[in-house]
Amino acid sequence: MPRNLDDINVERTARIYFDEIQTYFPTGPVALGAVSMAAYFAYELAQLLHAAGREVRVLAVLDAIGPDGRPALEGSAKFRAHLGQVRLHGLWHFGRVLKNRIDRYRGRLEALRSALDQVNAHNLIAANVCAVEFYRPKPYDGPLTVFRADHSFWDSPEALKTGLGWASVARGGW
Amino acid sequence: MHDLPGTHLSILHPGNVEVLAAHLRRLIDNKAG
Repeated sequence: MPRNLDDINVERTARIYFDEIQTYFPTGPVALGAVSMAAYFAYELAQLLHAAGREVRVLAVLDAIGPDGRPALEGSAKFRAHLGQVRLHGLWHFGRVLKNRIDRYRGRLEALRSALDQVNAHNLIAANVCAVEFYRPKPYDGPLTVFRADHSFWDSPEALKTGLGWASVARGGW
Repeated sequence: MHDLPGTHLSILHPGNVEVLAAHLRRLIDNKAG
């Protein structure tokens, strides 16, 4: 874990992983996988490996929102999606939605309560979010594989059509 | 794009890891072949 959270930066972090791979696994194909925001660190690492002539056989991003965003269903389409979930899971569906909201707000509250310079899980996540916000991914020529959590019933057709927002940078297909 | 069972937070829960591993193995084998 870094001592100073301000030091977290996608390019710098990817470079640390790159140096480790080049030192301890200098030849042979590489497969990379990352969940959520970590996808951006793996993406940059894949770019570095590719540029160094390494074969990145797989770059898999798991339920990660791509640079173009992941638009959710809205209006009547959102209402119909909720109705579909009620048919599947009964009224417990609304209990789950409520629990997710409460968890999210509780997390934000805890982050607000902790001192900004304190190194803890909340501030670490916030620092990673900032790092990803400032990162501008360049198009990637290798294949990108997008995995989606199938309980994400709110994904719009646009989100599915663009590989959760990765299509514009995935020049090698997704 | 591939779907994995579960939510954003449960995507790597036990059971899903095997499903993901099977997907990745197929991808790696296809590229190698």
